[in-house]
Amino acid sequence: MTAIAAAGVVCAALALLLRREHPAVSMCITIAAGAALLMSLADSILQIISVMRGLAEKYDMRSEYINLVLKATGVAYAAEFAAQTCRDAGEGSIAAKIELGARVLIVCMSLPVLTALLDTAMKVLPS
Amino acid sequence: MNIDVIFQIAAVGILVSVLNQVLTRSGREEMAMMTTLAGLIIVLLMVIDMISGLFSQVKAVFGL
Repeated sequence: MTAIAAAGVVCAALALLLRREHPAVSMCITIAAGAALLMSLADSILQIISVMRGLAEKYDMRSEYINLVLKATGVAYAAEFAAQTCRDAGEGSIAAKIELGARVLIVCMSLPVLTALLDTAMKVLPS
Repeated sequence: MNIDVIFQIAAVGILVSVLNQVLTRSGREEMAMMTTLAGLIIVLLMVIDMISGLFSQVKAVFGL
């Protein structure tokens, strides 16, 4: 953990050093630092996800639901990374479009589950 | 954690700044601009590599 914290602070200092002369290179340092920090967390994230899947198996939850939740988390995460990078570069409107794209994709991914839920609810209600 | 890449990018940036200043002071403005552009392209190539690695990891971990 201290390695991640220290690396983050050092990269922020380097990005700040180059910001005035070469703002584009400074943005590249920011992106590279974000990518390196996340890749160093990949093992821990994989462990968490395998434990979640194990619990879902144990309690007989259908695997498509847990897959949907994980995919939605992945889409949200990738969009957040890209949108924050655009905001750091001063492109707020592009960031907003990226976030809109993520929202639309997540709703599209969860449409089958939503229709199944509504069908079940309609069957249960006395018409 | 491949933090060496970040230090390499910072080193390229600092080197490009220094060369830029030297070339501008000695009057070769167009060479200064080309050096800046070359440095930027090198840095972008390094970063694109890392980003593609990151996104393929995200796809692998979340099963997209």
